[in-house]
Amino acid sequence: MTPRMNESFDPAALVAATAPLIGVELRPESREAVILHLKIAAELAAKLEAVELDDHAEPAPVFTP
Amino acid sequence: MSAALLDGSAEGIAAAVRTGRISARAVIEATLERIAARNAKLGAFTDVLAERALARADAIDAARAKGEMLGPLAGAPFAVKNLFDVKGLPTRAGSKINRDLAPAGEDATLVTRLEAAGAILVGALNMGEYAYDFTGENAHDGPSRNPHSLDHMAGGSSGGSGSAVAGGLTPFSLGSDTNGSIRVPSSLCGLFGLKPTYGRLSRARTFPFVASFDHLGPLARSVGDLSATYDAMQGPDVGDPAQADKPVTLTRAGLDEGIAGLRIARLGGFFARGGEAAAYEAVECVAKALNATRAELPGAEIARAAAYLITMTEGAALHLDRLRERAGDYDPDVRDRLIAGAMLPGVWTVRAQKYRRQFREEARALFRDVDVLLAPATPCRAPKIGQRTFVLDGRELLVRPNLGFYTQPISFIGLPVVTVPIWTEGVKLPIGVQVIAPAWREDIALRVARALEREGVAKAPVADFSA
Repeated sequence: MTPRMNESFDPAALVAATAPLIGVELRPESREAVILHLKIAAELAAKLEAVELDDHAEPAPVFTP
Repeated sequence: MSAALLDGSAEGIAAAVRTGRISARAVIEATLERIAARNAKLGAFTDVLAERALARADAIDAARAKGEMLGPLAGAPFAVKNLFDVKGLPTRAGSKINRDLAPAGEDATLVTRLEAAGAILVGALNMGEYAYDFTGENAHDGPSRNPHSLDHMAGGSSGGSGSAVAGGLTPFSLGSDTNGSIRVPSSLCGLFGLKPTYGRLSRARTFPFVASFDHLGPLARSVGDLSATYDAMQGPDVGDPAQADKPVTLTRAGLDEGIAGLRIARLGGFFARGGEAAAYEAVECVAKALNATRAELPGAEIARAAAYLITMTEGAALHLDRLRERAGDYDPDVRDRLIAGAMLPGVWTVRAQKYRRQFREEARALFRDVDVLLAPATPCRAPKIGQRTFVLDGRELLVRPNLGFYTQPISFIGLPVVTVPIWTEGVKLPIGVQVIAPAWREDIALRVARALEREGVAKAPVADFSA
């Protein structure tokens, strides 16, 4: 399997770099919480990344249960 | 006005109004008195619509006096989560920011439909800010409290919707459920709650959160009320772009058909780990009563992860402009999750949407062999208000994003669910079980819930919190 996110992922660096990109001014009291939520998201994304989805696995364009 | 009538069902109130045993005005006056007496303890209502409700009641009484037919919910009071548009109120959606919006010019479609059936809107209800919440706490309006133990959470984000009904202020309420926000407060407050199939009920004129997953539905103290209110709210509406082209499927007449012939199974795997014993004991109690077998949905853990990521990204996309302009006016707990959501790689969300389709196929395959699935609604009973973390399966986790651990995989693929409340003798707080049906088969989930109610396995009493 192709290696995915590796251990060098640095959520603090992502936050610092992305805040100006999306135009959000991060308050000092927010920084740690945003980093925590990114770590949680990365953990969950790793589970999702472990699933094999082939090239034809399209989303439902208009989702109908 | 007997307390028993207000502690009973919307259908019971409507029957009394239709037959002239009581006037709609008397019902509404008594309801407003209850709200005035009890709401300070509960934090359920943010707006009370006394004048509007009394005018509506008088119109119903006048119609009866003229011999006109009254609707199935005539005179029954209800209230809605404050993300529903209510004519004349800014739709605050639990926020400080939205209070600056112009007042809504029209009611939400579902409010209009319930009032067309005779129900009477008496107010708007507290909720977690912008619905990104499972606790029912609100940084601006204070917490909605659990009527069964006031220092415990009502659950969220439809916290006021749970608190109002369990506290006896109204027989039913409306909430929204993106990842569990009807099912979690139903579980924590001991109520029956219906999250219909995704695309079934119109969301027109309600404040959105995650377009891919947003649902609306009722919370009530009886399955009859869930069914009757759900029936009154069905029907097409061009105002909701996600509403599916499905015929109205009424449920009330067949509600007592029972469970004979239904193949019922309890879910294992993801749904049988990570929670406290109370969650599994409740499922065991329901499974035993229904003679359930066992089944697996192996993709549930990944489904939950995918739902979580889509929620972060879509929620962030909805709020990005406000995050830029008014970050200081958000509840910090909501704001920081939304900001993190704006920073996620887009490929994760696309992958999550692809997985959604794959997981739907997994569930459809399982439903070829079973008709109903059972799972816990929450991993534990109501945590204490202000509690920020809990330990699940040996890991310390944040309460706010994780109370919906078991609800999230199910709403991810839009399946209809009725949450049924289960009680343990000697324990004040209840816990819910999800009764999950195939897409578009709300009727089945309601029939099973009704059977459990009739057998006394599930019940939703008004809390006594006067002491």
